[in-house]
Amino acid sequence: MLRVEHLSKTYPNGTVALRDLSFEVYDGEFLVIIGLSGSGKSTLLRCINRLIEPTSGRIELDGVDITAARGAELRRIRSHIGMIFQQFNLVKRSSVMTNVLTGRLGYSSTLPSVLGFWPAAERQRALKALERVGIAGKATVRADALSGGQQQRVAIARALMQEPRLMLADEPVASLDPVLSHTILSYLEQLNKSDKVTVVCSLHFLDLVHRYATRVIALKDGLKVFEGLPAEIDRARFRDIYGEEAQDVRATESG
Amino acid sequence: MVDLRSFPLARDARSAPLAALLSVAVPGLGQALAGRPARAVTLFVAFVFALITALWFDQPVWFASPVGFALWCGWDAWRIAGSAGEPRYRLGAPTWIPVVAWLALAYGVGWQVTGIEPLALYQNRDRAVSILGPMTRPDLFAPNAQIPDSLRDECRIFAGAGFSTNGIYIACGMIETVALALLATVLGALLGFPLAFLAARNLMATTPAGTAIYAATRAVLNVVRSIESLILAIVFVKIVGLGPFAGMLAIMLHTAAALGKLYSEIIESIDPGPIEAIRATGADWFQMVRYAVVPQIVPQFLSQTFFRWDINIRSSTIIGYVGGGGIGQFLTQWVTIGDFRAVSAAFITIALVVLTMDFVSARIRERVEDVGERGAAAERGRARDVAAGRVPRTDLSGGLRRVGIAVVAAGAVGLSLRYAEVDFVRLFVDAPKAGDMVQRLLEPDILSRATITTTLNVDFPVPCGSAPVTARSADQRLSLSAPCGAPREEVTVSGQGIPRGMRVYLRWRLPDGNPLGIDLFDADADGRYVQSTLVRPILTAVGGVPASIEAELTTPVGGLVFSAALREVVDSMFVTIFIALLATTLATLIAAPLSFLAARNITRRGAVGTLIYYVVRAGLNIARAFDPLVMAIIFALIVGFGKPFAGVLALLVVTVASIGRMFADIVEDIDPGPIEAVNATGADRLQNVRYAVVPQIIPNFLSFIIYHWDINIRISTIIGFVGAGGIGLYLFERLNSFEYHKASTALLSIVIVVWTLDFISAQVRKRLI
Repeated sequence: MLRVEHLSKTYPNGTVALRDLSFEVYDGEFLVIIGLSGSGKSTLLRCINRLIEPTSGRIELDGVDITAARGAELRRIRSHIGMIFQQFNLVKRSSVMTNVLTGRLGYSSTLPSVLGFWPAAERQRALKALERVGIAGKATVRADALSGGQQQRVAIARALMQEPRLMLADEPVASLDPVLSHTILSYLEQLNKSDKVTVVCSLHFLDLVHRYATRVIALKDGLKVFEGLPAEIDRARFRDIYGEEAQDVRATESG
Repeated sequence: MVDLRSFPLARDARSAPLAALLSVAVPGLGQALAGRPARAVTLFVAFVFALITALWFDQPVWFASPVGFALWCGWDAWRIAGSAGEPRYRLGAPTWIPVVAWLALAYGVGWQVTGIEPLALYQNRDRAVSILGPMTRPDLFAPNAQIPDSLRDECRIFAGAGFSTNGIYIACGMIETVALALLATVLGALLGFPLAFLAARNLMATTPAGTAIYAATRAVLNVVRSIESLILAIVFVKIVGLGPFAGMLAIMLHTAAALGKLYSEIIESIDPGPIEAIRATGADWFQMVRYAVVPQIVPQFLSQTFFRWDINIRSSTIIGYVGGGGIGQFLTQWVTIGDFRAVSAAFITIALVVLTMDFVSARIRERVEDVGERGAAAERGRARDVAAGRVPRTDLSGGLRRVGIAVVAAGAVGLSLRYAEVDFVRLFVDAPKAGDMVQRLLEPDILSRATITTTLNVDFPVPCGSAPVTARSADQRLSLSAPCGAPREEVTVSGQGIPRGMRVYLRWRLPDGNPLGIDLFDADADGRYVQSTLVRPILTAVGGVPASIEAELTTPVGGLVFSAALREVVDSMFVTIFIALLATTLATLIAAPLSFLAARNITRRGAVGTLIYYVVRAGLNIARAFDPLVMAIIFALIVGFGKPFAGVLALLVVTVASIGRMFADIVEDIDPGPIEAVNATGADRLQNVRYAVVPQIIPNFLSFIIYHWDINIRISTIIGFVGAGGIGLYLFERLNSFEYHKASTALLSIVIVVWTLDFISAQVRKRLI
């Protein structure tokens, strides 16, 4: 469904984040991107929904060229791509409900949404989304009153509001402890399996990769250094990707 | 304290009607009994304010506000007492209703007392054009300008540099302005520095004596701080005469108090760990300050001092209005005679100089703030050297640079001493000149009694025969031991039959009609008095007109009443408060949208966005360069002298610039994460501002608005000096007519109002953030 061709990104300060990257994502996949910090994972994900402008190359979603989209067309494309972030990126002083409703902004006309009017149907939808991630009881609470794991679940609910076909997840569990990591990733897995939402997710920990990924891409200095099944990544290859200093990077203590 | 939550009302929903009734009768009472004491106090204070306002202006329509407020309190108490759960989580009545009602009252009264007429700007457009027209042709440069004879020697260097005659005055005045601002900042900081340690609670409040010193120092700093330098300048002009020295002293004193307070707050916020550690080594107080406190505070002190320099340079452009020197003295003169080409040239120069100084000070503050960082890096470098067995490098270039900075600074201060005509000897020698004025300024005219005054008069020729002797006074309340006398003789004045409670003021009346006081006293229990006085040569009769002795007998009637001055002061104070309120709220409405345009992260996208960003930023910066009083001078000319509306307009412009810039900085500081997330959902730019930006900035915005209302109250206490109404106008007129007791009442009201609002605004801001 997603095809990336010869994607490159050079930042204005000269940093080269992506070098001639090409790959394809198929319907229903749980694609995991791994690599060191600064290897270009975040840049790649943000190029897909154009939060960052690629320098060159082409991205196609269901045969439509995303890189050419402008204005309203771009916003329409974004409204079908969910995204969650390492720092959750909730508006901390707004209520959980308002945060979830923002996921629907791409579907709402500007004036009523700016004035804060939301149809009852949308509020129902938001409550359902919160129910799905198990925190419907927190709807009226301010977002900064929640724990990290709960905040990430609100962020997933916000993305659910977009009824996405594609879900981007930028290090979704890097700010959480190991147990919570599994909770959050299992929500993504459930989305992937039962709702047939394609997931592209960047991760840090090898055991999480083995547990959740259907396919893996590894980046190093903006170059694709590996593409294949998670089972193909053993210690040696992992050290290749992460360099000599790689420790035994695992999320859980089990070894 | 009684735990209010254990009170039956708090748990019993059936008592809701009772709580409501109580709260209608005494707003806040129901809330207090329902377990919400903080809400109760807030409501009660707000109600009292509304009631006082309504009572003072005494129009039936204004009473709607306190009455409505009391009803709302009843509703609120009903809801709180009647709902279940922990009291502090219970929902009261919607708070926007009283806020809106309170603002409606404030605007209704404010509009009326400040006499706002938006149409006045339009109706007076001819006057505006006649002022603004010439201002498009600034008079700064002209070939072969005449060099004015009155030019000071230091300013002759500007002759022949292509300036016009007025241009030479501007250049000279601006140098004086910068010089007096520099000295006032440096000397004020040096004066405030030691005071700050005495005013820091964490250093002083360890012993009873220390606590007393702390409280006293704080009080003095607060009083002096709440009196603007323009007012202080009037006193100093009296002592050292017209000129930059008087202005420098005024700004210096205000700076010492303001910085002393700020410094002490910095000291209070330091890490207490090192203090404890150094104390534990057996160090005394001074050693503790030197080794535990000073190292922690230096960067912030410097940063605040440079910030104060920005403020002082603005104040010193206007201090000349009351005779304090600098460019203000010429500016005032040109406004009076209507030379608007020169006014505009002065404006341009002020803007250029102030903005340059701002820029320099901002760069320095940035550097100062990372000085700690660089120092730490150098320290690590030296540690590495030692570890590697090398002799640690000494930071020679840093040392040289420090010496260089010190030389330049000393040079600047030296030059400034010359330009600002500093003469501290004169200050101390002539200080008694202001003694009488200061003494009367310390005696406010608040309470007075109605009095009946009788004056008795007997001629007393000096020497005898220089004028005919009148018959002895028939009135036994004033009799003399001799009908006439020669210089150095003693004469005894006596009287009897003085009713109890009557005051006697004995005085000579000189041949030229001026009085010479003898004494002021009460008669003894039998209604008698005897008083001796020496005949002085000055009493010698002139041209057959003899001196005389007068007894002024004063009987108070009725009880103590508030003096007329007090009523006038309160009336003017209301005007001042409303000037500040209207200017601040209107400015917020204008500045909030502008601030988004001036925020890099919102606007600066694409060529058009970047252009808008720079245009708005530049506009805000230029408007910020002017002291509000300079603006007020121009607006007073357009809408009329003495009109509070002029003050509102001037404050409005300056506040829009200041709030707009601060808001833009707040917007630039927000967490970009939510913006990214909301963008990723496909929201457009307006939706993004509404859902990702606005929720993040509201508390900071509110906090800054309240803070600025505080600042605006201070400014509006003096904005009347230049003809913009309010307490400043009253104060200025009283000072000019030597009615110091009335001026003192005005000063007292300023100190009280500034303090109270300072306190309230600090409390509110603490809760917001």
